[in-house]
Amino acid sequence: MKSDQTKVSDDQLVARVQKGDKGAFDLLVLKHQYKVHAIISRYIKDFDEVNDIVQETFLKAYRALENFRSESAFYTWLYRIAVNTAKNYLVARNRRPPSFDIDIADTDYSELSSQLQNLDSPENILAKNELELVINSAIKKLPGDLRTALMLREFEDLSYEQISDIMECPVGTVRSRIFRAREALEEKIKEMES
Amino acid sequence: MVVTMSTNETQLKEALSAFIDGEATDIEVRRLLKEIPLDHTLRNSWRYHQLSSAVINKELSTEVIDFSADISSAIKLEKNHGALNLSNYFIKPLGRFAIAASVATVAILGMQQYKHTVEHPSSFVSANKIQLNLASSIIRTSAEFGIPPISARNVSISNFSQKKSKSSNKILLESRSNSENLTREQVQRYLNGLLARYNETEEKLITQ
Repeated sequence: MKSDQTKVSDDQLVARVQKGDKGAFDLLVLKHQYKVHAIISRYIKDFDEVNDIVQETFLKAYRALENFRSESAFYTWLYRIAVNTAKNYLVARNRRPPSFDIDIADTDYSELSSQLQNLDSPENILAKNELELVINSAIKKLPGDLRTALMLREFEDLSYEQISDIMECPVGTVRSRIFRAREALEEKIKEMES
Repeated sequence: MVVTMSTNETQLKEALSAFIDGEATDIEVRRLLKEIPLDHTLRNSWRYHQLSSAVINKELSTEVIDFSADISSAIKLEKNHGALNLSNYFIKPLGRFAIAASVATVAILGMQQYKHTVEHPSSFVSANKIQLNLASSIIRTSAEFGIPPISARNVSISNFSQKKSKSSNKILLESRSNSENLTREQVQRYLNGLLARYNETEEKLITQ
């Protein structure tokens, strides 16, 4: 899981929320909703229940954010709220939560089944498998330097400066390459949604 | 028809990509946070980049759902944090100011009282001085007033002169050796108590 680099932008957004900017919290939701959803899904299997708990998690996080101090990373704190909310939900319904906590690093889903082949699926639900195929295919088609820059950033959590040392190019070039790689992936997702 | 982005839009989207990585400048961050709520395209770009990242890092659930609209609606009903919180920015400072003002007032009054006493000792009325009415069959002693008993050594007659006022049978007794110290000590003790109570109240307000 990304650590230091993610923390910087999270800290900036959290600071904005604490000053009354609700739009900044929207960006935090967009950033962390998929991972929070994945964590909760490991505790609860029912589709509707998971969705309710995801929303409850973020609502709790927003309310408690006033007292959040950046001693721990925002995502770690959010993850704890998600886990506790899921466990409390299970206890409230007389279901026993798992005796172990699921590590956020262990959210690799290898299941091939998808509940989203149904043509009546809501617009905002994408098929995970199809999305993965599209994204992975798009990454493979990226020019070498763009792919390398993106992977060093996403997989290795390296800073732009570190990537510029490895790729022996200016930091500005690293920034531009990562941006262009992301733009290419964005186009593919847009095509999929439309 | 090919739609190309303006240079400005491109710069903004590149800044957005850098912001995801914690690499945007402060100016860029401020501009982004101002523009994103108004620019749906920019907001969507943020969402797509997060989605790509989740795919690359294998952090997706079986369903890929965007909860942001529902959560945003729920958050709208919640109070704003920080700057718009009336309690933090108005009531608490006002409370602290009121306590500080009352402590300062008491301190000033106390010092004025002390100063007045020093300048006009004959008119000083304190627990140190006991009025004896010799005509009365009951003589009240200093012990009743919680003052250390006075002995013949430290009894003295004040500036009041029997010759000047024969009609008065009142004798003012004071503890000569400690009169000024006791007065100063009493005032100091009182002020210290006030300050301690003020600090207590301040702590309570901060932790609320």
